[in-house]
Amino acid sequence: MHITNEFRRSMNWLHTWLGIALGGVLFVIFWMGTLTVFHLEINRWMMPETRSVTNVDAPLDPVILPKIAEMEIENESTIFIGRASERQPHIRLIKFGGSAEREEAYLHPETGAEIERTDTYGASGFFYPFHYSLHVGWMGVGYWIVGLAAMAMLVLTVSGVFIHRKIFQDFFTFRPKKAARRSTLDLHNMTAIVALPFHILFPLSGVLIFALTYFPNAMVVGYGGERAGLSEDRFGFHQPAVVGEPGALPDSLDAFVSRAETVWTERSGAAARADGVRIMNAGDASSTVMVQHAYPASAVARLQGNMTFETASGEIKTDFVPLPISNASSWIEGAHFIRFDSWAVRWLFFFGGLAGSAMIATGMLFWMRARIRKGMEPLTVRVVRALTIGTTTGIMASSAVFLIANRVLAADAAAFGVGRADLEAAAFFVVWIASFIHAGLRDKRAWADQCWAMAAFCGLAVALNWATTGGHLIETVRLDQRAVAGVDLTLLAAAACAVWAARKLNAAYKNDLAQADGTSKVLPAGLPAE
Amino acid sequence: MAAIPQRMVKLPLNEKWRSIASRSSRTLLALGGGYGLTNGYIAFLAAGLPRLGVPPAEAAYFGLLTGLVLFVGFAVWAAATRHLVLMTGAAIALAVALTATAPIIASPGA
Repeated sequence: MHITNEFRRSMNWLHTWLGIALGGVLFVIFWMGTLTVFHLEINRWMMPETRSVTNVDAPLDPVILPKIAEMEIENESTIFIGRASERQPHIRLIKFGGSAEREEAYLHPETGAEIERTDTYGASGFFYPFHYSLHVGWMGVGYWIVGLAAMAMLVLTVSGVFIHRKIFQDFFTFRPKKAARRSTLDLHNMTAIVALPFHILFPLSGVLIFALTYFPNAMVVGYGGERAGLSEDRFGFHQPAVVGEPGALPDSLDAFVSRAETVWTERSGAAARADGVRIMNAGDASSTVMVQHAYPASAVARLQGNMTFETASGEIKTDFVPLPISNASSWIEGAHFIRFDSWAVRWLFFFGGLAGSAMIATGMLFWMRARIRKGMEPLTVRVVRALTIGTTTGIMASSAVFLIANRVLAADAAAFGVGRADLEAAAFFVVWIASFIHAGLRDKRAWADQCWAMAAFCGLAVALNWATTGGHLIETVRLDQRAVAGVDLTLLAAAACAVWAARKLNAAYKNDLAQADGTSKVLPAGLPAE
Repeated sequence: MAAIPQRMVKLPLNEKWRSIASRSSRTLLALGGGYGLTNGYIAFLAAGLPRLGVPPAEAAYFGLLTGLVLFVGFAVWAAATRHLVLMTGAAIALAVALTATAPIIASPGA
């Protein structure tokens, strides 16, 4: 295929325009997504009470049935039981629906004792929703911004490929000793090409997960715009109609789980493990028990099936198996969620996310440097630099502060009418806003400053974890608390990288000054300072 | 602070902004046209495929999966074409036609 220069120029424009317009948002999404790969492990770090892994396959009945018997259950109530797993070693018991407020408890899988966990959103409640909604809940605007950015990312990836004349050569090209602008572009190209499959998979699967929000026409005709109908057909998720007569609670959940797992194991040929049980219309005669196989350990596709039983009779009501196209979609979505049992792939995704973050940051940096060379107004330089630094190093440092706040706030901390969990989130946002202000007031040394700050915050988080829980690295390794040890090690690695970057940036800044004075001809090495 | 090198002859500010605004609106048009066309395409498939025996949820997700490729393809192509406004107009007209026909195709009498 012959690609004309005019076509390349068009692609270059499209790439640049979308990159400038959405680069910052994309960096935030990628960074939060990278952290979210290990959201359950970060949860363990942030909730020390949930760190110990016990027998996650202990029977449910002795633990759950007495708890359910104590609950005030209405006809419309739904009770969800999330089974314990190696990554989430406690049972989650949630009641919602009806007139009562949602209740959630974490239970020890063997004793059933309620775990008094730290009042925190954890990574699952903060980094995770940040990744897909930016915490902008108003009219779903956050979802739409993320969706727009994800679709733009797909266009950016395709247009970026067309821009390259020598895509395979770029794969092997990184010249850190060259001029700062050149090495920035090299790094941008290299991280883009090395992790190209991820740069396509992440946005594609991300858009697909919320596809019904972005493309509601899919359910307008067949389902009258009702998402519930489509969910029922695609996920086998059927909410029975309430009949208004009292019903009995199940005598045994393990019996239902065992029956479903037997069927799934025979069907797939691999040991299947149910990951959740849902009692719908729990207090009604129409009550059903749905055993879910939503995140299988041995398959990428996120939904392998679910089985619904009549609570009263124990008869199988539905045995849902996803159809081929739904299965294909589940595979792509499952590849985004990475809940399957492969640590190697999980780390690969983590590094893919980091490569994506680096690619976006270097892209923004390259554009800014090019504008400065072309004579951008000093005030505009200051604003653009502040926005770029705040969105990149600023958000990384703030993420570490979120962990620090988790360790320093008292268990019953409250201020300005908000509780402990909100104070942790507030610490994140205050530091993030401060990073923009700092970058706006300071010159380009703000890059190095914020790298130093990040290194200090990461180191401090590890030290505080030790001081407040006694869980230093040797201890967590000895106790086989891999999640906690992994988070600590990653924080230390991040601190080391931040120190390295800060030193390079400082050296490059000094070199720039020397060059301006005419006392040095040495090109800046390593990471560029602008 | 080092002096900022003036390597290019700058366009007058209003001309520069006019050029950026013009190209930006073209890019937005390409993206909007792609989004509209994709929505119409998905509606059409979600309505039409069940008439051929495909379960409705499968039809909807087939439309969504392939529609994303259509979106990216259109946005990239439209950004490069010289007839962007015409092509986007045609895409939006097609999207409206597809969305309008979808319920007719899905109705039992069709």
